[in-house]
Amino acid sequence: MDGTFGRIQKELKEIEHDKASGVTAEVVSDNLLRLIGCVPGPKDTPYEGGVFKVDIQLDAQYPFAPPKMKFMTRVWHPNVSSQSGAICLDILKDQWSPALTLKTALLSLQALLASPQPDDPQDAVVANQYRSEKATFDKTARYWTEAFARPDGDDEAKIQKIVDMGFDKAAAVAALKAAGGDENAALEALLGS
Amino acid sequence: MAEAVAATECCDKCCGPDSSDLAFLKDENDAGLFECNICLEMAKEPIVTLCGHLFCWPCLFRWVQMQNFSRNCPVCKAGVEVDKVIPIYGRGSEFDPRQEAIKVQPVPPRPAGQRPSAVQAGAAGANQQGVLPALFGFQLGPGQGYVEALTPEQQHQAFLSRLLLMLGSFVIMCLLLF
Repeated sequence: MDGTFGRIQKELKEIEHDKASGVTAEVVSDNLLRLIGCVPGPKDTPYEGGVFKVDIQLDAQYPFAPPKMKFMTRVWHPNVSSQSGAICLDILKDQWSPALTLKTALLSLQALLASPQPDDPQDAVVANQYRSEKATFDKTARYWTEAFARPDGDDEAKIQKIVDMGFDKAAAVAALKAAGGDENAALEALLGS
Repeated sequence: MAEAVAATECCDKCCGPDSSDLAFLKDENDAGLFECNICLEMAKEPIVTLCGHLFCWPCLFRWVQMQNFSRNCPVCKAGVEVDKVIPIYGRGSEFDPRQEAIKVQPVPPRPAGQRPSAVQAGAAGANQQGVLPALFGFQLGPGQGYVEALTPEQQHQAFLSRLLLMLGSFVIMCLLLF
């Protein structure tokens, strides 16, 4: 158990220092076992420009058991469930190895975004579209990226906008978070309260 | 240490994130060479697989126990057998207070290292001397000094095989002559 925590702390330190890879991970629980990872969309794909949040759940067996990962951000991709964000990737299942880390797993997700595997689909509808209507698939994936995977920088602009209207910054952040990033819904909530 | 901190600060301030990344690598590189590939700590009870990857013995043993079908090196997926890993004995590393904690878990002791016989530097030269001198135990040339490195068992075996060869050739000579 001590080994698990020591290793997670070491990994977090490594991710923090390695900014070149682009992926990040943050602890969201007291016990280090629940994290949120961020994967930038790979270049020259419909996911470019988006930042995809990944829910990471570790257990006491880690690193001997794989981390449980699923996309929190909605993604249109043959190997990701468009409903639940569940990911079909071998290294998160039987091909996991304790020499892999959260960083390498997040980078593998980025690689998966860049090269979909429609023959081993998680979402059959998306996989069929990928195979039969590639142009429509690209369009849908790009639309989903723009709609759901906008980076946090946008949020800051929205927060600034709300603060400029005379609301408290902490309240603006909370309202925006509760509204899932929807500026108008956040404003309505603030006005209603 | 203070210098290192000052250097890092300097890099952070004036050279951008790339330089501080390099400073981090420099700090961690030396230690990283001897870190277990599983727990990422300095390897305790270090062992190395035949494919050359370093682990703590308890870490590797636990991983191997968890794999049902094939037993792979976590780093390169080469086959791993627990009795074929090589223990690393550093100087004065036989006792480690942490081993007390390790003993609580059902991890068997590390397999012992193998002891291959000393390599005879003159082995090739000795073969060129021909059968007869070797047959009668003559040692010529630069190989001489290295033979003493043989263990008593090996010396005994060498003596026996030489004796048998002599007996055999004696029988053949008898058959030819009479």
